[in-house]
Amino acid sequence: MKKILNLMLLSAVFFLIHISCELVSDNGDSVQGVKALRLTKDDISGWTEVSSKGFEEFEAASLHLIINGDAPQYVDKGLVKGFIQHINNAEKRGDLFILDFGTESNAAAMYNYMNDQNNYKAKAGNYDMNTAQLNTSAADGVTAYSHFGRYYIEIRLKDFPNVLESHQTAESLIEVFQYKISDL
Amino acid sequence: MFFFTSTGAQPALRWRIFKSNNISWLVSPSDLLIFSSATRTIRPMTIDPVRKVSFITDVVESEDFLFVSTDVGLYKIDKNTQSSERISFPDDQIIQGKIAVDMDYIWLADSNNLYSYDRLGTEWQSYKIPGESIQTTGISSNGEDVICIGKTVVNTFAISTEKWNTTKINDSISDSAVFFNGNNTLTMIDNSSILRYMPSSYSWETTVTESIPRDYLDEDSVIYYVVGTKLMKLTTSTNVVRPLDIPQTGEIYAFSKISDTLLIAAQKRIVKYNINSSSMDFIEYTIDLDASTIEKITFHDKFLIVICKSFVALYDTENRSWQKIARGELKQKIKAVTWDDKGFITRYAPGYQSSLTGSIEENFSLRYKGFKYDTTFHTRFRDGQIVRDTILDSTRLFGYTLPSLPLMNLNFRTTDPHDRSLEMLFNNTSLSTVPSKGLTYQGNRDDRLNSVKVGSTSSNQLSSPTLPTAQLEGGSIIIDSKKRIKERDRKILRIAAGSGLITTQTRWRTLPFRSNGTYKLSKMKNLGYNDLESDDDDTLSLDSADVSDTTDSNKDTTRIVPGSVLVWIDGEPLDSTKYTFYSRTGKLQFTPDAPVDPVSIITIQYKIQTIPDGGINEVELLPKHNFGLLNFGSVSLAPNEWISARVGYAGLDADTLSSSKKNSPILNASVPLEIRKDKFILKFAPEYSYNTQTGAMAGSALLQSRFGSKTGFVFNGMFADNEFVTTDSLSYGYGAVRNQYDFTLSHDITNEMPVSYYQHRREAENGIENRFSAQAGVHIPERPFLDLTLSRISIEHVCAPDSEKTAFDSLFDTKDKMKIRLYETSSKILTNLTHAKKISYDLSHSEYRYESGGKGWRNGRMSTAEVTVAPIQRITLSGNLIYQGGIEIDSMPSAIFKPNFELQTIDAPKGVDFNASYYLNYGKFSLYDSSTDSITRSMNIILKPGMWFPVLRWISPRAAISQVINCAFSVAGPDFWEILTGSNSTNTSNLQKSFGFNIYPTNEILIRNNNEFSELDSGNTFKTTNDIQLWLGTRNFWQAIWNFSTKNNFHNGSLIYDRILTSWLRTSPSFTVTSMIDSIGTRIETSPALKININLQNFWFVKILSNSHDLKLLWTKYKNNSTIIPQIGYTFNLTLLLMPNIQLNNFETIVFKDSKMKDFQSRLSMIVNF
Repeated sequence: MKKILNLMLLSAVFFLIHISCELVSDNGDSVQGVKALRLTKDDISGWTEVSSKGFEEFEAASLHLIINGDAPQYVDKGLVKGFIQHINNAEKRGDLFILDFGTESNAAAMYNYMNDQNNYKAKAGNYDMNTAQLNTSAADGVTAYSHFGRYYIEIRLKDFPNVLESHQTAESLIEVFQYKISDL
Repeated sequence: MFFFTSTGAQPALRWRIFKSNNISWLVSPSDLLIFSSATRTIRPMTIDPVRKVSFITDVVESEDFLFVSTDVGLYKIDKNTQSSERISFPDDQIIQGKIAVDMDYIWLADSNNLYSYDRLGTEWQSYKIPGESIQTTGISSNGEDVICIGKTVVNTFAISTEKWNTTKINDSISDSAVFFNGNNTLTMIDNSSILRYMPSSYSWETTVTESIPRDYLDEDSVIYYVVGTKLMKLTTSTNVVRPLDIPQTGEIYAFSKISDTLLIAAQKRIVKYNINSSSMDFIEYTIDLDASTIEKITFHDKFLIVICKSFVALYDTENRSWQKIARGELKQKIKAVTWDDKGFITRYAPGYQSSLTGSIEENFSLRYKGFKYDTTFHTRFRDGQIVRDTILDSTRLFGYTLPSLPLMNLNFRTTDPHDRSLEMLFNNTSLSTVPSKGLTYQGNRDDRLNSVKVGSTSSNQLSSPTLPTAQLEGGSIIIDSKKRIKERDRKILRIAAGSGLITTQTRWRTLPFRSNGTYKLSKMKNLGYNDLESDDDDTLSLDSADVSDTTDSNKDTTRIVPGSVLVWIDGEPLDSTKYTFYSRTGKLQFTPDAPVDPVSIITIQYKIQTIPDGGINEVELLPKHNFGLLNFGSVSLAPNEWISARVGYAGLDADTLSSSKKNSPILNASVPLEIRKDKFILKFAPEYSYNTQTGAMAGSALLQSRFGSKTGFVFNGMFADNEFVTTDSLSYGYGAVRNQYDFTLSHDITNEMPVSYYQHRREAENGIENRFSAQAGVHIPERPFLDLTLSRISIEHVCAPDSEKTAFDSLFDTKDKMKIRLYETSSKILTNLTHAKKISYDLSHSEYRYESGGKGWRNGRMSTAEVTVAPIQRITLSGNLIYQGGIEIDSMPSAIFKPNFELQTIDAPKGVDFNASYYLNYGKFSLYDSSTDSITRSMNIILKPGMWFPVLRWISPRAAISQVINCAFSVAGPDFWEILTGSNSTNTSNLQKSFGFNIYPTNEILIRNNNEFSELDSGNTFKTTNDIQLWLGTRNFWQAIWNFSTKNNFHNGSLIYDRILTSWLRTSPSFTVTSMIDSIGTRIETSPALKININLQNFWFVKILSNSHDLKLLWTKYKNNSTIIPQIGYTFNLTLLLMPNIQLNNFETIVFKDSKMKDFQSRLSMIVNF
């Protein structure tokens, strides 16, 4: 084991020397994992995690269990790991996909892919369309896409008696995750 | 006495599943098992190292704890640290029963008594449940009322007045009933019925099932249950039951749910069924697994846990492999030192042990950040002349994160056999609160030294209305006399002392009305994304309606405490379902049906906490920012059961977050009295505080009483001098309180007819608020329920502060309001009249009038309605309506009308499920003689040919259509038909049509298709998605996917072959082609890829070695230019679990494009689990 570690270390040093690089301290990368973004009980009043099976973590290889059929579109874009959190507030329901794509460019590529697929684009609050947007195709809710750093966030809200309320909720949730990511 | 679940209950219903981080808790009356996804093991949990637990009577979850009632006592188990604390009863009695937990009390009910455990005073108190041999089936508490469901009655216990209210249950509950406590309902599965009690409407909802449900899952708004070969979906708001059309299941024994996928333990295999897309997938059982022996299945991380009668089977979904452990082998021998999923445990002697639980995580990362460019000048001689060359030099930049303070969630706990414990904890993993840290010693109930705390603590032992509880970083100690009062569970003498820096403070705000119902309560730091806080941002900028704290200098050193927000409308507490508060962004959002009218007084209360300069994760032993140093001490003396005198001292020092200097030595005295007789209860707590330096005084009195069994009276009064400074802010939204009182008088004319009167007066720095309110209710079973509220609220002598940013300017002088609510969950009268199967309704109407500045009375109104009608079992029509009128605000419509209808049919006609919805939002602007309209309508049809011809069960077609229309009318009152249909004056219209099918011709072939046609203002589009899976045995499958969209003429096709070569090697080669046409030209991408998963277990000192390699090549042809050298991407993931419990995770990704590195990232984390 020790030999393997030494070999890995030497390889890394040779690699860096070979490509003549400069090392700088990186403040933009966080030490906490994606799981730290899970909404806690009191983060959003009125909304609670579904009492059973409300939270599931996954990696690229196990995503197909969570979303049959649609998993490849995330995995192909470089998904590393993530979680889904199911929340509800009376009859209103929300599925939050918080995904770590490893790199900022992968997360942006995932967002751009959804941007291309979205035929029902609407602005998400004050965000510009390159950062966040809504898909307003659903009659009883909304889907929101956004990306911050290496994280891509997809918020699916449904069973809202008032569809405009779902838009406000999605915008607020995007803000919450943006701030949480800044805390990482 | 009902146990955890009746012994006759279905096996799956006997289990309860709870989750925490890496662990699933699996509890049945005879087992408490924990499954760790980190180590992939399942083990029994030792609840008590000294006493042997043979039977679990009940288990409930509250916050991060499990409360477990057993045959050897009551236990509180920390789900994160797995530490267990015994909560002893007086004289070490063993009382078993049903448990409920709220903020202040733990409740336990057996057949005849309800027991409360005061979590602050650590005292037990018992109450006789009315009636004889109630046989409590389940209990629940919301902090105000405790509901005890017996076999034939529901007993509701009012905590403040200790008043019981008993109502009969029409159909008695049998011995075999199983109880589940949901968020809003209490559910009983009793033979072939699901009985749900809804405390908010005092009513029962019954769903008759075809046979006894085998398994059950409550998601609050939706319930799933299994009967025979069917999995049913029950929508709780309408009580509509729909069988899910899942073919080829045979008998179903248990099920679980992850996201939208149901995992169904069917007769031959586990079926994965997606609720949204109706797509299916399978997991074959391991050899020798007889499905009829399955008790429960659940899912954690990437593992499926199947509990059978004689063994537990684990399925690794990533490697598609099974592992079996006999349940008899789960019991372990106890060794002196162990380090496993239960932590690092050292056992010194029987009952004496120390355990270290939790984890330490350290992360390193290295990533490519592009180039740094530098221009240099090189001077040289050529042909005798000086030549200056300009050289553009580039250097690759790599960013790294150095190891910093690891993420730690550690708990070191030492216990003795007499329930004493010493605990040290540290946790810096939360993003919502500052790192928690501390040391706690907890004595047993007979010790003199009750507790010692160092670190995060509070002044709750000195808590009173004039000295509110403060959260501290410091220390506290409690010392008790050994002796207790004979008549009750209370120590005669208690001495408490402590010192620390105050870290939380309460804020109050009175808010102006906003038509969008959105308020920002705190300013946030700029994140640099310039999306949220740009100059033209009207949500967060300091506009005239901004209600955020007017001093923003502390915005980076304080944060709102999650869960601390409370809202009042016109002096009445607002139901928390009517608003949402986003604590991280400080945003308050009212729901559209919240009873907030344009002249409402909106008052909110919340707490803020101080955070370090370096952010919420920075560890500070003593907080630099704080609300002052508090030193406190108190002595309580309880000579007998009815009196308990207390004297205390609080010394307050300067606050670092404001310029005010306070140095306040306060003496406090209180004499709480409690007198309990059969027909009379009086709890009176007068209290007085005196600042010895300034002479400022404050006092309060609390009275809780009951006369007879039907009348209750609660009074709260307080006064405070102008100069009185205390541990928290004393305010109700009008500035510092001078004096205030409120009281509630309640009386039950009969159990079904409660009446109450409430009054308050709050005199404060900036105004005086008076409120008078009378309420009456008629709740006779099987009759319409009626609630009537009359109220008057008045504001006197409002002295507005110097800014226009307050809400005081818009307040009225007097406002009268009348609200009437008529509701019934399942109306027998209406069903008899109409012969409909079921009719439910909830109608409310409010009329209000207000006057301001002597300008006369003006009127307004608001109505809401919710109606559900099921003419026959299979057809349900539901609708709701919001109406608001009399609005006199320029930017708002003068009247708003929002109806919403939904029609659902199930097998009507046979084999056809139909769902249609219609939503209208109409706004009338009388002043401008105009109106607006928004219509959303949709329709879904699912056909089930298998219902017509069983041989066609393999096909499931579906179709949907939806439309959104926005209109603007040039008149205030357009034609009614135009409002309903949007046939004229249409501004925008979007139409979406779709159809598709799922086909399962054999067990090995799955085909899914969906087609979508969209007609938008921007143009029409067509999209199709197609997926075919072909299974070649349990180890191999082919999958082909083709997606097409007319937008950009987009094609995407992929072919995947997934194969398990050996038990440790899985390969998945694939080939993807994408083509699209954009405004510049055609882009074609071709991408072969290979994924390899290698999984090795239990060799050398390695428990698990799991790694995946993902290699992807990408050729692009764009505008007829082809790349010859492909883009190469490689991703590597490694999980290494070493003995005893050390985990290494490594993620590497590197991308080369045009023979140059385009992207590189490396992350390494090391986690030591205890």
